[in-house]
Amino acid sequence: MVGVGTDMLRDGDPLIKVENLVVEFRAPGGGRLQAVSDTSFDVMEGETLGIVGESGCGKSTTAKAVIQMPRPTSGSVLYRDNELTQLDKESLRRIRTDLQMIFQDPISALNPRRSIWDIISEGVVIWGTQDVWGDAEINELIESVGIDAQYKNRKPFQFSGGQCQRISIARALALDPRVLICDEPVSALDVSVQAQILNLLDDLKTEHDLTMLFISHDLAVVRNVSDRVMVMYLGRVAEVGDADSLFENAAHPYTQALLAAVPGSNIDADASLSGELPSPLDPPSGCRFNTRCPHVTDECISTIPEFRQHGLDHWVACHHPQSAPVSLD
Amino acid sequence: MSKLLELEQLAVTFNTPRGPVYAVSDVTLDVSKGEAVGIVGESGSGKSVTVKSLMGLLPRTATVTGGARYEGDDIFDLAKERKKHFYGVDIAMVFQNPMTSLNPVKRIGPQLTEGMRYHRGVSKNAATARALELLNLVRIPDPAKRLKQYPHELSGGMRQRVVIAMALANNPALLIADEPTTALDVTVQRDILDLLDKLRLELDMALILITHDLGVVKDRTDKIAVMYGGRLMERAPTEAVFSDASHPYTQALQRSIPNMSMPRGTRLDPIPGSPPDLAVVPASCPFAPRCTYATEQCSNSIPELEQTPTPVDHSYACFHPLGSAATQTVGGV
Repeated sequence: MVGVGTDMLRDGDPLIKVENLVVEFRAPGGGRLQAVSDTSFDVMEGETLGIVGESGCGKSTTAKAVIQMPRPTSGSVLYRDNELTQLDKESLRRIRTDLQMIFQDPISALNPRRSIWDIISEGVVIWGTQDVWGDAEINELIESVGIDAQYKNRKPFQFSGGQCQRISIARALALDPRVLICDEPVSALDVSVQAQILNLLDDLKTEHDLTMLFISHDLAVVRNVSDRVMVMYLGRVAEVGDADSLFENAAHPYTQALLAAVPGSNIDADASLSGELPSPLDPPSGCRFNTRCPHVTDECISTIPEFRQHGLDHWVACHHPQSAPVSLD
Repeated sequence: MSKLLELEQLAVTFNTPRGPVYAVSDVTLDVSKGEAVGIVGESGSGKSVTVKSLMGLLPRTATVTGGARYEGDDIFDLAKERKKHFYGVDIAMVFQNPMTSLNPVKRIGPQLTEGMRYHRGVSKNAATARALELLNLVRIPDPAKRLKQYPHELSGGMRQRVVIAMALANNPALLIADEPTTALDVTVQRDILDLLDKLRLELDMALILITHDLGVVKDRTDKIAVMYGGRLMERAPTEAVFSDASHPYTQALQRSIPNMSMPRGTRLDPIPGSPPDLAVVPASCPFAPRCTYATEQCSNSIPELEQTPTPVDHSYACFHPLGSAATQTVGGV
């Protein structure tokens, strides 16, 4: 990653277009921590963009910056011709119904004192959309995520983790969103339940014409759900592109290291990482991956790599890509 | 290989205000010297409770029955003097979250040497020298500096290495690692697992590796015990678990997990329903409500562990093992 530039943005009319996004936090001791640095990407309507990387790479911060939670330090987030970073509070509130989110820990994401009926229908009450979402429709929605509607007066603790995640999904869908942001939606679930939720998301995506941002550290899960994948490292994008091209022809040494780390992977251990994730308070110069990269040269330390095309829809920010680019002719 | 650890019909019940919870039932498993055994299961399957019962780490509300022998000695009935120098010397354990295994207000050095000083009465200098050796062994760079640092100054991966070094301090014959990499990033996970592999061979140590992820134990263990609902579903050489599973749960688990070789958008084959309620007196196969092949027999009685017709030690607890007539008529999951 560690790359800059906007060459990887596609022509056409993306639903979400993020350019030069920067998110900074105040660090203890007065410093500034740049969680996301100069990141650009776009998401087409109906597409699922998978975002992968280690903890601290900025994947959740990037997704949250899209819904302005918190507002990014600089950069542009364009959603259907609306520049979200410029919207006033009320306009942003209205547009956020389009952009809903589900979280990693489904139990803490639900108010423990309220019934699941209240939790799911609250948005409908707030937005006065009862004509579209009457009791019958909400019942149907609850059933559609696989919860028996006769349990609608129960509270979250009476459900399992997998069921709570279904309830979170129903709550998001009750606002008729266009975009669903899923932040590690299956990481906290039992392995035997993960597949149920992944299949459910897949069904609902088709049924509700959703566009998805799907954040996960689990590459096999991302491989399963994503049309396009973006690999992040220390606040920057390392590699982005069509999921098949990216996984089958990974070019960035960091992407290769991630693939080698998948349990059961046959990829040679040489690709595995040495060293520690550097402090985001003091990121390395040039390519941020240079402290752990097996192919590092002087150029990597002095110059931030720009994105270069590696396939029809495949971009890599590396001075020394590790696989042959696919011919574009 | 001679048997180091033998569990026989081990059972753990917790007495709770709402009644007994049958966390572990009827677990029979052995570990030979130098052997690596994987225990695989979801949360609530009883995998952690099983080993915690061996380590004497269960709360007073737990009732443990059945047998557990270490080199022939009953673990639950060790003489007082032996017990004092049993845990941490013969068997050591590494937990999931390295931050909670380390004392946050104590430097790494004293934490590493404490066990050696207590169990072996070595001098402070000798213990410090050994601590440096251990940090080198677990490949921590700049070990002399680390000894003076506090846990919060290390990354998660480094902390877990320190915890492993602590566990190895007295050359245990058996190391139990309970989800040692679940709290860590995938890239660090591979490092730690490789390290455990290497140490096991170098030190001729037996290892019990507990995980919810079948991928973690593949290629790294000699045999695997698959647990569900507090019971052993299948116990087999690692290879057989992946190529020739007998229990429908083992197979369903493998089929439900996405893997990198599946093309994008592959429809997954989920296991319907949710894990069982352990507060019910066990009277059926715990997997029966979610099993494709379940019959009335499965809901009315508990299947015993049975040996497969293969020459290897491969057992399963199922009335309708895969490959039997019953599973073939249903026509596969």
